[in-house]
Amino acid sequence: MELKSVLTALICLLLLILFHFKKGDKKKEILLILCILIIGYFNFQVLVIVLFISLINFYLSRKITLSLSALQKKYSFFLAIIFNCSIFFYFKLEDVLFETGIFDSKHIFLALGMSFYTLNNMAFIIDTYKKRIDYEVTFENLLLSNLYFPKFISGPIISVGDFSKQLSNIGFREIDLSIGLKRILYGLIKKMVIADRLSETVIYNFDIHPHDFGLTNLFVAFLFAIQLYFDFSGYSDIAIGVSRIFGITLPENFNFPFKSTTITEFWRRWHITLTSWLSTYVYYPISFYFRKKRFFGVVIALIVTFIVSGIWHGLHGSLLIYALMHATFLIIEFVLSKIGFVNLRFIPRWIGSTFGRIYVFCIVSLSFIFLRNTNWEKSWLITKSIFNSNSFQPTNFFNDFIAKLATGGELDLVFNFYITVLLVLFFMLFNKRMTYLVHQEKFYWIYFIVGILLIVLFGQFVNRTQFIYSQF
Amino acid sequence: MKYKKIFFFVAALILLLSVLEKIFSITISGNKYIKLNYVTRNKIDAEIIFIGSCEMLTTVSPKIIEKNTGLSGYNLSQNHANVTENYLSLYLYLKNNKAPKYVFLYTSPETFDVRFNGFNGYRFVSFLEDEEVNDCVKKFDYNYWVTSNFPFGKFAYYNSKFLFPAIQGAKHVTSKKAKPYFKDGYEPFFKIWELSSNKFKENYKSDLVFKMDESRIRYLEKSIELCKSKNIQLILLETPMYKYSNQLNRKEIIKEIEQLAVRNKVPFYYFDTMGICQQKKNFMTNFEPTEKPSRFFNELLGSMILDLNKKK
Repeated sequence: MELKSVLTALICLLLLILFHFKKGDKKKEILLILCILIIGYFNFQVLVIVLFISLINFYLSRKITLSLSALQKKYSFFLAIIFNCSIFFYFKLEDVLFETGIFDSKHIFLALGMSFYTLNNMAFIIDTYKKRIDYEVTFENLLLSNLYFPKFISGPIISVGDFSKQLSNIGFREIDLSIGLKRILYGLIKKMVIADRLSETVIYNFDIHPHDFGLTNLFVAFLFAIQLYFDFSGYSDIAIGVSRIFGITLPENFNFPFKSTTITEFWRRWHITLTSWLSTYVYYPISFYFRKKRFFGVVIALIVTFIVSGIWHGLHGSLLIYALMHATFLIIEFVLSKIGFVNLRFIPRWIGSTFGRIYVFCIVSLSFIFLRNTNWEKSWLITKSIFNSNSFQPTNFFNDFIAKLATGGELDLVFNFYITVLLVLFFMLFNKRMTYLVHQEKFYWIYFIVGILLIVLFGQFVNRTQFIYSQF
Repeated sequence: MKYKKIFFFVAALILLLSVLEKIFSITISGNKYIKLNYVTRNKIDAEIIFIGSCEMLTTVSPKIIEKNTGLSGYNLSQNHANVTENYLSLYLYLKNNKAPKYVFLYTSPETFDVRFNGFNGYRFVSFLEDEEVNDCVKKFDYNYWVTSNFPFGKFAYYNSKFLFPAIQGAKHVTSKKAKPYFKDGYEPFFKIWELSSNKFKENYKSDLVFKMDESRIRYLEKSIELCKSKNIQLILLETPMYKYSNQLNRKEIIKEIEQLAVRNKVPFYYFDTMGICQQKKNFMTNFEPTEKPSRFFNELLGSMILDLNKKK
């Protein structure tokens, strides 16, 4: 299922019309029915699974709330956690067995959106147990929170309590429509004009013709990092925009992550809702538990949090490497900050921030090689070529990306690639300005026309890639 | 007031896209490096036409054949073209040019297998008004056909295929000096295949089982009918390929093609056992010989055409 599909657009339009004319408080019910219809239309089995999971979670949450004995509360709580973990591991394991060829599964699509709604349900159960929900959550709210189609595949992650509060705002407002439409268009541009165009070069070099030309692999790794950012943040923009036109405000997922000067800061700006979930439900409880161990308590909490993050992405060795790479750098930064290395006052600030940004971009790009390929050996070969002085020859890089311009070979391909590079540079430079415009309440017609022109002239309509995070 | 604004916005957008479509239409159709546009806007009137995909494009040199036979030729082949595209190319060529004496149509087991060379609807962007072309695009590239009905849709859908040719075409339209890249349509390979033998084999699986697709057979027969209606001698031709490309049922499919050729009373030439097919160094890919062995093949083909011409 893709948000940008025509069908989704038509459904949104239908909803808007309904909301525009519908008076009274049945808007939530209309939204729920439409979410059921959309998910059920794309995959009926997924709908049945989510209904079943929601029902069990709601039943156990009621048991937690209504039980008088603490033991029974605890029992229901652990039962719910085990239930959600089992479902999660069952589908993730099925995915691994399918990819390794051991298991010939035809049910692979049943895991659609599962990572996201599992987090949703786990948080709901923990919050209920810890009595952190200050809003009455009905079964309808929980189901809608799990099935809400804009965030179903890839988030943003929002707690059931916060989502339930948002449901009272459902309705049609012109300001929401203006902001929402701009946000959707911006997301589409990010996805179709930047991410999908970059994916051609990435797929060609990493999948179709994998090679051991170090410099080219490094360059393509950089491109993939940019592709992933535009792809995922584009998705989030569309999800937030679609929600906004219904009157629902979803939390932001990105805040210019490549402006970060440390990996610690990067995680405050990248996939913010997941980081926030992991901090609340994994990192803080563990670091609190090990608080007496001080330094080692933080290290243990960091390692466990990132292992959980890796497992959440999938049960693959490469994803664990990806998670541990980040944990390692966070620990290094934590140690350096403790000994005061980060605040070197004699270095001018701009040098420090430039160096920091380059450092973050390089580390993140290298780690994303492992996030991209579930086969860790393949990822390792690419990484090895980058660090191998023999394969780090500039000749192939110049042949692939520069010389063709001079020799005239495959001119249209080279032209398209450089157009993409220019578009990326443009978007990187003006990202802040454009984000500011998108968040303004005023509707700029001219910008809207320019946006549509960008899509029809440079957007990818064929050979589009799926949203990358929909696979996790 | 609000609805007025929306109306003006939509109207401005449609107008802008329509203007853009007009500009692209002029520059794309004026691009002399796009073979189909060139042959439909200029008189080629060749006596032999070669049509096919990259195999034919990189192997058959009309110039060498002309030297051997005295018959002028043009290579109308295009990369990744399938049997329907070949039919349409021939159809469009014949609309603007004199009927040739001979048409050589690339035919191999890959021609009839749907896993090879899909239909590239964007190539016919300048001819969508033609009923025959429109029907084929609708049939084989439906999404593109639907999009092509919207303002600028026919260029937006495959925009990466049009952006550069449009700029190039703008130069051709305004300067009028540009000439096609390859005058006779032949695009030889001068580079030798650099990958190892294993990769070479991997690239084209030896356990591949070909399947004949009915719709592809139909379009080949349509090409045969078109030639018959114009009194053109059609010859089915498979150009030399590297020996590793001998898949499981290749020989059986070649026999089926022979039967198809007999049924339709057209000759079928293939060169699987030629000497040049035994050495990797003669090839750029499994199916594309480099320039030197191609020359040898063209001389052989020239003498065959000469024999054919004498019999005629």
